[in-house]
Amino acid sequence: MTGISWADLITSFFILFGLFFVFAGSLGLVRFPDVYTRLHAPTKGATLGVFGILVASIIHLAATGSWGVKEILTIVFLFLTAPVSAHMMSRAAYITGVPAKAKIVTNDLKDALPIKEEAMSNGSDPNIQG
Amino acid sequence: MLINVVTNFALVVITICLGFCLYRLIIGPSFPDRLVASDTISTNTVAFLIVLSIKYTTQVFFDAALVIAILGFLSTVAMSKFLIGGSVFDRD
Repeated sequence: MTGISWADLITSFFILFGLFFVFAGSLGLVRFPDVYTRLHAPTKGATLGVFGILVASIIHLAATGSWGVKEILTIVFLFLTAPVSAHMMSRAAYITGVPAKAKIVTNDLKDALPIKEEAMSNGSDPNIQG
Repeated sequence: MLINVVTNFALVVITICLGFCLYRLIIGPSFPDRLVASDTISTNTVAFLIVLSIKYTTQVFFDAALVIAILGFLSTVAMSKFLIGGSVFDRD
């Protein structure tokens, strides 16, 4: 026994793995130019980061002799709901008329999904009047 | 020992990430930006609680993490529905 066990090493590796993705997701939330690109960093990167930290927690619990059922439940729940919430947020951003930074080349939603008229003002909050 | 150092480092980094989300939540130019920041805050809080439970080798934070994940998803969907249609529930 040299003080550092294999379970501690694997747990630390998965914590640092998850931490990198959580940090990358939050940094992308600050650094990306508009809302449609800003959506991608947290909803994919941070979700994978939380997955890594939960795997580390499962390994740490298994090393101390119990089973992490709630972590598996949280992993399944996060991986089911992250795409749904990302879709809903991008849909809300498109319908309320948030402008994209770059020029959109093809817009397949132009005929299918109308942009609300009163929300066409650039970037202002459409639900708080004056 | 190693676990203690790594989890302390992880708690510091996740707190910095929460600061990033708070920055976007305050200065976000449109309402969906603030929505994305709020969703990311709930995801990061789940990560924070799990790291805390690894640090103290306990299971009491998992219920809180699961509840925060569920509430974050529901509030995101509800606010998106409110932005899209002006009402959370559809009236047919």
